[in-house]
Amino acid sequence: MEADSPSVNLVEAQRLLSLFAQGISGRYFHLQPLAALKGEFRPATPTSDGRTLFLPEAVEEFAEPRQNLGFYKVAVMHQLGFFEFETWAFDLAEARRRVPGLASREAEPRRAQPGELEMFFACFQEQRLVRRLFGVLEDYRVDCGLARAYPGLQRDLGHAMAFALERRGALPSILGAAGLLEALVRCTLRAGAPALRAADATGLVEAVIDAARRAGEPQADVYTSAEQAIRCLKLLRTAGIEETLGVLMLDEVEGSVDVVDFRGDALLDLAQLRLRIDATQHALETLGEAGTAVSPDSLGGIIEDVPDDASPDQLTKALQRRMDSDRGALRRAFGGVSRAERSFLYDEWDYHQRGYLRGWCRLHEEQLKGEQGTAFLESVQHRHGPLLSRVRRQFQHIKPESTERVRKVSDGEEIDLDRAVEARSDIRAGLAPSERVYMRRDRARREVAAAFLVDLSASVREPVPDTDGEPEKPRIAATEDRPFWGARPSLMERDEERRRVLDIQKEALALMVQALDALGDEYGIYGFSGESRDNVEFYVAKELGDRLGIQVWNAIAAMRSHRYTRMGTAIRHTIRKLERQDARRKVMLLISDGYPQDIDYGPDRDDRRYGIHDTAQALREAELAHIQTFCVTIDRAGHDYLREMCPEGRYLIIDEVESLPVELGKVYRLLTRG
Amino acid sequence: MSKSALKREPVAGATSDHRLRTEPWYLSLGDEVAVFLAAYQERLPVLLKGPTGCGKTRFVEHVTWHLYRGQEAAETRSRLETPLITVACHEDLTGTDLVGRYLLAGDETIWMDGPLTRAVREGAICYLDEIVEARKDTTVLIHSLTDHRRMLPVEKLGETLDAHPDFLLVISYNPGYQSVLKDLKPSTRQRFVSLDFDYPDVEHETRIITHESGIDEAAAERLSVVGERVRNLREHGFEEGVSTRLLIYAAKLIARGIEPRRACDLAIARAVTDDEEVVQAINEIVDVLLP
Repeated sequence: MEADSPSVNLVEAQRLLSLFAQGISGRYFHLQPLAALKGEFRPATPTSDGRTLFLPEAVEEFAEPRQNLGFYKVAVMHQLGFFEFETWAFDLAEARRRVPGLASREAEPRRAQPGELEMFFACFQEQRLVRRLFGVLEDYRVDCGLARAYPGLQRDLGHAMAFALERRGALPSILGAAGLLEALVRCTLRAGAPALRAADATGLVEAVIDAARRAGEPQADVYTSAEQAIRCLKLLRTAGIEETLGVLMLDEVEGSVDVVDFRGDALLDLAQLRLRIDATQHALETLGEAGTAVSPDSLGGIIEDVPDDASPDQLTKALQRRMDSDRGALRRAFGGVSRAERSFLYDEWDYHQRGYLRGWCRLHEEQLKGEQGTAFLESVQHRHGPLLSRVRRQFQHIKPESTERVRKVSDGEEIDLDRAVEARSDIRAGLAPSERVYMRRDRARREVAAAFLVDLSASVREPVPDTDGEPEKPRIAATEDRPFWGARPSLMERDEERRRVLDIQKEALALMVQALDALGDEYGIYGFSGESRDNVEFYVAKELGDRLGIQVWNAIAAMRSHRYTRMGTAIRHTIRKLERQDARRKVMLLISDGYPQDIDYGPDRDDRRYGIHDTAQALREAELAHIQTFCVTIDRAGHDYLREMCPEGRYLIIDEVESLPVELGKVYRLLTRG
Repeated sequence: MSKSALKREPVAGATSDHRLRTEPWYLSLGDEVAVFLAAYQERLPVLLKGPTGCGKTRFVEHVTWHLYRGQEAAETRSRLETPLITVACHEDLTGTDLVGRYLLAGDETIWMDGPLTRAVREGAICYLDEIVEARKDTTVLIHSLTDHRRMLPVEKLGETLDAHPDFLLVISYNPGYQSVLKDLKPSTRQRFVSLDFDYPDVEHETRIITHESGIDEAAAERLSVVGERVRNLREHGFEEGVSTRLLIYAAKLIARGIEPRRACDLAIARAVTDDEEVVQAINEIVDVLLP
């Protein structure tokens, strides 16, 4: 938050708001600016798709920064309130039992596989209006619940309500349906009832006030909002007929009344689909793990229109269809469905302007998963058995070099002569001597944290360039190095295919992992790619601090090539990870096969220098954070840009790709020696 | 060194003696008290697992009081002056520290029992807190005491002590905190009955905060909800979350007149992290939760 301006912008407040949201709700939400919405739905006010909170890029309405931040907090809390007060628990079958008059209504949804709220709205010809009425009442129910559960929020909430009411201007005469809807909105902003009654020309405002009151009561739930929405619909129909507005035109009323700023315009029915996608994904995973016949009931009722004796394959297909339909609906509305577990905003260095573009890039972090870890390990052992043994021995030899003498201890291999003399002196003086008269040599902990950052751009799927002469035939490991599981002919057959750069990279990582596991250093394995500044992809194979297990091997095996190489953003994200490590020495090894590039890496796509400068700046940021960086590349033409991009002496061009595993180990030992 | 004057002196240093003159208050959250008492009847060693500040030590004090000072305490136990000997383990703690050593006193050599030896001789409960922090040579001592042998080898005295019938070994262990390199081996873990501890739910934690600090129940409930929500951020640098102990500290500050938000800032936000953005986020969470 800039010191001289009261405005608060999302880039600066993003992390704070993200932590705030996670703390309050226990869930992680992506935070994105409204401008990121690329679908049919592009509101100017906060909204959510159930996983991402879309907020204004800046709030500057108020005189104090604290008040502007308060607006963001209220907006975030309002979206979280839909979870806390169980808006998403709406179930049409339950609503038919609880809401008078609903049981007899048939739903006519406009698309296949609608959600529960969607089905509810589809019970009425004026679907849009019902959605709007329900939204207004549910907004109010949530806000009343928030005010009760979060007494400290009342100040900011009250402020936001008063401001929103003031912005709506003077109350016009309530003449018909639009006037009643406006009256309902003002009720929920705590407008005084006397003023509403005084403006009423329909005779129906009292009922509208009562509908709002009921939605705001402590015992109200989502079905209360549904019931009162139907009640209000009837009131609006009555008012509409009196004004000679036909029922068919009544749906237009919903767009004639402004949305409340801090509450936004949430498409509650579509957001419910987001949660259904998560539940469907979980059900698919359950099916995959079960392996035997699973009944639809055992999946928690996520899917209903399949026979009870449906096979796992039938269930899987039905779930997949459901998920594809939901994703499509969300994509049309919001312009994209984030699969990433986390997303982060990062600055980018613009060398033209010699300054940072604030919050320019969005990085999406995803945990790599797979099932080929065991086969991958076998393949590595088959190809590099002797090399692996050699590298492990070399790394193990590092340890005895780093010991430190610890003096003045009560238990050790040698006498600390100085302390022994002191003790004897104390005895002579009649004092009780210290027992710490020994010293020992301890193996000092290396306290190294290392991050391996691998370029997973499209170019790494290219075959390894031919070397001169005949290609080497794959070897079977010698007896003493034969792996426990033995050599497998099928792997030898695959070896005959052209190997890709990515294969070499993965093998190099596998060797490093096994060597590092022997050494005991802390390390993380990451990959990156992506396309455009809004979609930098960051893949986690092994997080710093995680134990080595089959999941890590599965993740490394699952690494595959993607698209472009926006190095700067990936480096900055890795810096954040290393900064959180409590290690004496921190290193980042960047493994790449070319220069940084992306479709919008700079204003001129053909300008390589932009990406090089941004990457160079990111590497400087790493050095400032006391992280040593090193770039290992197989790009034989890399000298030109690497000299400019990397700190002096901190890059290596490998001529023979196949030597990457060995060279990577050498670089690591050099970088981390004590 | 002469063994002519072997004297056994009271323990000092890393241990604390709990004479337990009054009953330590403890709110039971399940059947942990009953389980411990049953384990004690069989002299089964007990392992307490849980994050810092969740009540493990208070629990041990409470059950010890029950066994040694309570109405049903056996006479032999009720006469013991120090029924509970607690050792705060650290990375420099060796087997010698636990068993004992010779010390020079003038021209004499005296033997000083370590806390474990003392507990074994006298029939006290020995509580080794955060045992994985200690040196590996302590494991040998634990093994011989926690199987059917119930004995402690004291090499420097050339003797093997049979444990007093009332002796029990209790250890604690925080699985969320220790690194990969520090972990209890299965051969050690499987000698203990394990009790899991965690931070209580809001209802119970409110009662604990109220009792320990003296603030009213409504304020204590708010603090407990603060703790519950801040624990959602435990991945952001403070893996153990906010301990009940810290919430009690905040409550005590409030009871002494410190403004509640300020008390939470000092005792909670700034105690768990140095990341200023996380501190600010915690304070914003506190701000919306407190009246």
